[in-house]
Amino acid sequence: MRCEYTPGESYDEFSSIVQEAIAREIGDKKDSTLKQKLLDYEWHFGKPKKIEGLTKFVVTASRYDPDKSLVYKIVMQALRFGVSYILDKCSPEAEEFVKRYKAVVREYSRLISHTRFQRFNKTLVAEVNTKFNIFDILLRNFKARYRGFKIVLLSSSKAYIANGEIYVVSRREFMEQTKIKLSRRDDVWDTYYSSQSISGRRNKRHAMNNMPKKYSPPLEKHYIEFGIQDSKLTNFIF
Amino acid sequence: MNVRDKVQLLGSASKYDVCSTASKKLGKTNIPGICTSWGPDGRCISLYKVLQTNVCTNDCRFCVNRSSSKCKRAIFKPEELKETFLHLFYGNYIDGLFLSSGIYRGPDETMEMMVETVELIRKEFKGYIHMKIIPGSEYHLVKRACELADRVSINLEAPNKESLQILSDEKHLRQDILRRSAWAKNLIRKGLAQSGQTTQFVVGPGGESDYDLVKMSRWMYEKMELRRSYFSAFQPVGDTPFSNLSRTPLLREHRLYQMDWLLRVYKFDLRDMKRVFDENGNLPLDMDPKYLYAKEKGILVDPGDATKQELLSVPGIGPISANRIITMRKFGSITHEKLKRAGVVVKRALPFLRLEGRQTLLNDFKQENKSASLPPKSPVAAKVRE
Repeated sequence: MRCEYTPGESYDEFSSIVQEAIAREIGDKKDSTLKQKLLDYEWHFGKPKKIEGLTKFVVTASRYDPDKSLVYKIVMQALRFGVSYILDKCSPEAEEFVKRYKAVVREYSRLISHTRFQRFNKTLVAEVNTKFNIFDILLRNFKARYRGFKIVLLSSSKAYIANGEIYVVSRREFMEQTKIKLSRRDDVWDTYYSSQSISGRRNKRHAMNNMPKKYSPPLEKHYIEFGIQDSKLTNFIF
Repeated sequence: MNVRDKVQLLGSASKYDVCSTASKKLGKTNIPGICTSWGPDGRCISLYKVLQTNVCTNDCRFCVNRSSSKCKRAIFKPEELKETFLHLFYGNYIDGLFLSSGIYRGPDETMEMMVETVELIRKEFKGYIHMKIIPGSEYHLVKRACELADRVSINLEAPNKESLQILSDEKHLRQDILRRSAWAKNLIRKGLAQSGQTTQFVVGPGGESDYDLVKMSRWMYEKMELRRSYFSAFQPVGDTPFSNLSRTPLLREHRLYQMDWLLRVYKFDLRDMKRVFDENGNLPLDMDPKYLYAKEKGILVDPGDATKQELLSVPGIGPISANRIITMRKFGSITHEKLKRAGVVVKRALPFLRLEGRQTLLNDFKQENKSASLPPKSPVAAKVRE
C-alpha cells in the first residue's frame, strides 16, 4: 500500500497550505478583488529567503495537529504584515504557532538522534513512537543519511518502509514476512557508552533534563540508556 | 586483547578530549549540534571519540596515558577501528568520528596510522570527521589530514611557554604546536578541512590566569583563524604526578566559555572587558561576566531605539531576542509582555532597561506581578509555596 501522505517537496506542501488559507479567507469575505491580491502571495512575502523561512515553519508546524486553522490564520497574518511579524512572534497566534513549530522540531530532532537501528544486510530497522505526523520526513532524513540502505520504521501498528518510495504496511504483516527479531541491546555501544563517564564531571540536573526517558522501550522506562547500570539508576530518576 | 576490550580502553582514554559537532556539513543531513545520546555523567555524545592507541612516548604530567603510567595499553588496527565505527554509525548511535592518539614510536608513525584509518572509513562514510594533529608531525601528513577530515585540531594545553613547561617537558609551544596550527590555517584557506581548526586548554594545573587563557584564545582566533577554543577543567587522575592536585572547579570552565562567547559571538572587545577580571586576572566565579560588565559600566538601554550592539550588552538579551525586539518595535512600543515574548530573560534584563522613558527596577516588575494576583501554576507549585 502506498503511503497516504506521500512526501512532496516542502515548497509544494507550503504552496497548497497557502492556497487553502487564501481560499478560506476569500470564501468568508466574498471579495473578488482580494483574490488576485492574495494569490500574488510571493510578492507580498518579499525576499525569497524569507519565504524559505516561512515555508519551513508552516510545513513543520502543520504536522502538529490535523486541525490546521491556526496555520491558515498565520499564513494570512504573514500576507498582511510580512514574514518577520510571524517569525518574531509579534502576535499571540504567532507565539502559539512558533511553540508548535518548536514542539515538532524537538520531537523530530530527538527521534533523529535517539532512533536506534539494527542492521539486517542492506536494511536498517528501528522502532519509533511519536504523536506527530513526521514519519515521512524522518524516513527522508534517514534515507539520505544511509544511502544504499532500505529504512524501516516500526510504529506500534504500522511499518513505514523507505525504498525509493515510502510504503506503509501493517507491523504484524511486516514482522511475519521478514521474520526479523529485534534485540534491545548492542554490546559495542554498551561498552563504549559505559567508558565515557567522568565522575568528577557528573551533572545530575543537566542529565535529568536531557535524558530521553520517553524514547526508551516501555519495559525499561527508566533505563535512560542501556549502558547505565541498574545500581546507578536512582541517580537519574526523581 | 579483543575488539570489545579495545573499545572500552581506547574510548575511556579519549574521554577527556573535548569536541562538538558544530559543523554545517555534519553528516550532510543532520541538524548541527544534535546529541545522539547523553552520557552517564550528563555530557552529550555525538561523535565516536576514540584513540588510535594509548601507547605514548610523551610523559605529560596531567595525562592518563603518559609513558610512565602503568595502565593497560592497546592499539586499534585501522580495519578494526573502521568496522567498530561503521557499526555504531549504522546503529545511529553516533554522527561522526573524533580520532586522536597517543604518540606511538613517533609523531609521523602515529599520524600515518591515523590517516590510514580515516582513508579506510572515508570509502564508506562521507559525514563529519574530526582529526587531531599530532604535535611534531610532518607537513605532508598534516595536509593529508586536512584533506580527509572536516575539522582538525591541535591542543595548546596551556596559554604560554611557562605554563606548558609545568605540564610537559617534551612539547614546545612554538615549534611543535603553533607551527602545525599555522600550516593547518593555510591549508584551510585553500579549502581543505572546511569546518576549520580548534584547540583545547587544560585549565588549572599550569598556574595560568583566566586572562592569559582568554587572551591566548583571542590571539588564536585572530592569527590562526580558529573556529573554537575549548577549555577543559583539570581533573586529577591516578598514576600521574598531578594526582594529588585539587580539581579545577567546573564553574571556572563555565565562566571561561561565557567570556569566550561574549568575545566571539557578541563581538565584545577584550580591552573593554578587562574590567571584569580581578587583580589576579581571574574571572569571579560567583557572577556572570556579562552581568558584571553591565553593572560596572552602568549600562542603561532603551529597547525602543537602541542599536543591536547596545541591546546585546544587556544581560538576558541575546542575538535572537535582540533581532526580535528590533522587529517588534516597528509594530508598537516595547512592553514587559513583548520582552518576554521576544525570549528576553526579563528578570535579568530589567535593571538595565529604560522602558517607556524610565528605568524599570526589578521591584516594580515584582509589584506589577503581585497586583495581577495570578493563580498558582499547578497544585504542586501551590504546595511548594505553602
